[in-house]
Amino acid sequence: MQVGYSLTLEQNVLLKPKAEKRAPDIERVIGAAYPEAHAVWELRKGGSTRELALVVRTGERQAEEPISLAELDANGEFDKKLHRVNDTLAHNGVWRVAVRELIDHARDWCADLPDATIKDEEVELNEERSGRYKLPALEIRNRSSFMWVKPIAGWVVNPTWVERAPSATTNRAVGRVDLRGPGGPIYLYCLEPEGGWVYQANVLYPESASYLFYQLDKDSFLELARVCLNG
Amino acid sequence: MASPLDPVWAWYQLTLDCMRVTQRAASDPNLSAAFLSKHTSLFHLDAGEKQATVEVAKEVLDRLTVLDLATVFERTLRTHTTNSLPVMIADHAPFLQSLRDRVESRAKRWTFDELVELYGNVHGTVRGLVKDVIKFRDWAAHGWHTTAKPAPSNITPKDAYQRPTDFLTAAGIAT
Repeated sequence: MQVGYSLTLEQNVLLKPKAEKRAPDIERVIGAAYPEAHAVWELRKGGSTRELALVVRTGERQAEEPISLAELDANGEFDKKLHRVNDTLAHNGVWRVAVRELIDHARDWCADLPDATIKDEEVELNEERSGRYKLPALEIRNRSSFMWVKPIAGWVVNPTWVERAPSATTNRAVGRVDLRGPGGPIYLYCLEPEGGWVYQANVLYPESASYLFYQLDKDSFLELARVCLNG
Repeated sequence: MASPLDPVWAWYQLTLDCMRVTQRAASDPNLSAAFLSKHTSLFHLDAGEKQATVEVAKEVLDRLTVLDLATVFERTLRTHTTNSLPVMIADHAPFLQSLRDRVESRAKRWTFDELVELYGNVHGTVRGLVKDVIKFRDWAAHGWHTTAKPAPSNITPKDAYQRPTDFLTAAGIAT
């Protein structure tokens, strides 16, 4: 793996040597999990001061972690930060693959939506742990009604209806895509470890208990799209 | 008392419904006359642009709703804390009176985390979950306008309503 330094850090005689000393640790922890990763130390403006951040990219995964001087100096704390970066890279990879698969499926499924036209779009997310990156989205037009399949965030607070489901207490949401339109927003969450996209059951079945959720499939997506398009 | 967040939730749903009706009207060619020239933000747009414009406003509404819910929640906790002091120190001895005044003045400056941690009768998980709401509130208030500040974990208005309501119920402040 490679470790680089931003131009502003290259010019900083105090911080660059401290960051350089940590290159073996970065290779030991991040390089072991992601040998192709490219890490860059950046010096960023944070309020009235400047703060160090470690930005790591590998394939379609990325992570950012601010690192204080105290954390840089303390071995244990720095290792914790590196493991957090690994967790973020893993999360970001799962989320981005899941979104691409969902968008691909949605595009195919919409072929069965009468009179629908599909337009590919792109959204940019900017998240604390994953930084700035782009994801695909869809605009769906059905006659004169519009809806959007839009990735909202890879880092989300678990919805209460997932937490309260008796059968899914260990599930954690790794991201949210919204169906937005006259009948929306309708929230789709990607769950781990169970995997797959889920929606709250009472969106389609109002009598359902609020904690019930179902896996998204072609039929349910088309039904949700109709609800979203028709208000 | 019912949750002090209920009125915020009610206005959110009302506003969301108004926006949905507007989008439906924009998607129905028979209702094009509903848009008059005085509706300057929508009148000149075609059907798709009208719906997209309202959709963007709905996303802003979501953020502002989280902001409002979190603000009402925080104010409720601060008021409850301060109002609890005279009850706690009832005999008004001079020393206790001074102590109460000191605590009262300091209480205004407690961080949200400090405030939440006072409520030991509320389960630790519930206390932790409301902190996520406040973190997103802070970003909604200060971060997203510039797009320079990255977003923390995203939360829906529904969860930003439910989690503080659970907290207030567990703390005995709301029913």
